[in-house]
Amino acid sequence: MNLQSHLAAPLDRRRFVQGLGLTMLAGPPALLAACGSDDTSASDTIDEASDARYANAARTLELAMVAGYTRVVALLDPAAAASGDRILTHEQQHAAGLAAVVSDLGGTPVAAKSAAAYEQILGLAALKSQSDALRFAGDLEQMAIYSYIAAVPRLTIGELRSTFTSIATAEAEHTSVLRGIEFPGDPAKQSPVAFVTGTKSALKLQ
Amino acid sequence: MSEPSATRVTRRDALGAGLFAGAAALAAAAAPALIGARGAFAQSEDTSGTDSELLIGLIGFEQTAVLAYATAANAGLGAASKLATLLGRQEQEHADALIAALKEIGGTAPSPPRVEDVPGLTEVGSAEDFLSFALDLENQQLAAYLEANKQLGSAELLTTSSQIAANEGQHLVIVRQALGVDPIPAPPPSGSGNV
Repeated sequence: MNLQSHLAAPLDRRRFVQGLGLTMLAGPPALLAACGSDDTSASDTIDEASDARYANAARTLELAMVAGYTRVVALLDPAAAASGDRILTHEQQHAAGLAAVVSDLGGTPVAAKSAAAYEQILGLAALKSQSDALRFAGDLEQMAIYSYIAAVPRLTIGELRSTFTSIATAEAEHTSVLRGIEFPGDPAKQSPVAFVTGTKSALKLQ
Repeated sequence: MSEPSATRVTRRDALGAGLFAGAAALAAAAAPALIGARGAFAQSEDTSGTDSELLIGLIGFEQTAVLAYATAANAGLGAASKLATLLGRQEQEHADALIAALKEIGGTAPSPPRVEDVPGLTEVGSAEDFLSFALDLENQQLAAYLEANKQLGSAELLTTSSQIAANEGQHLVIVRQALGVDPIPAPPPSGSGNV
């Protein structure tokens, strides 16, 4: 599969609404586009293999987030660590749930990398303080939100689109919790914009 | 031997529904509990297509939210009114975007509701009443977006719907914290309960 040609393929199986003035993705998803066929998103045809690849890419992301949050929690003060630990549990459950989806679609769930591998990929050694940890966790969540939302139109199974949207929402909720720790008593910081897009990341998790 | 195609479709369609605690399982019938007889999916005067019908339902939810938050913002509820102003502004942005999208595909936006059209809104008298109402409102909105994303055909609408759903999740965190309850009770969000 040529990745560049795949990413350039239009998401136009169904009618594509133009000129809505809505928030648009800046480009193809950093992680969750690295799979799937050209016939993706809003498709009338179920493509289990393609959806399984997206689910596995999402699991790859979640496994990295588990590794990241394991370090994050260790750097948070006790009050914040309780929230961090809850978020870590969520990411673990996302990863496990996505493994089940991949298996059900006939795929093989991707395995977690070694701790040393995540240490290097995520740059965990650079995290020294709660401030570092919160910023890092926020960046991870923004990357996840971007990736999940970008993948939604490319999935062919409606229920899976809903699940991906739900996980993206969970990651957005996590950002609100994290910002609440950093900016207590300031709800505007927890919900700064009406359309949550996430942020494309240059991280290479595969 | 492979499974019959009908069985495989049923199994595929169930993917995700039972994998997570509290996973998305919205029935469109949940909508009338909050916004009355208008605005529920499939109860639309515009039959130009599934996306139009879904948009009309979602717009109904957003218009209800705008009204509810405006009511609370002007009710002198202190910090809760300030919160209502913030959330209401974002719900208005959601409504505006969805109405523009509907017009682009030839649909007509429903008329905004009146206070008396929204069950329970006239009974909101205190900050806690409003926050509990807001919690229910946001949960129903989120559930509606998760349901809509199963059916929306336009890639752009799916993206916008997802971005809005994520924002409703952020609203839920804020409202739960204002109520003093767990801000992220269960993964992943489904809007299926008043928690």
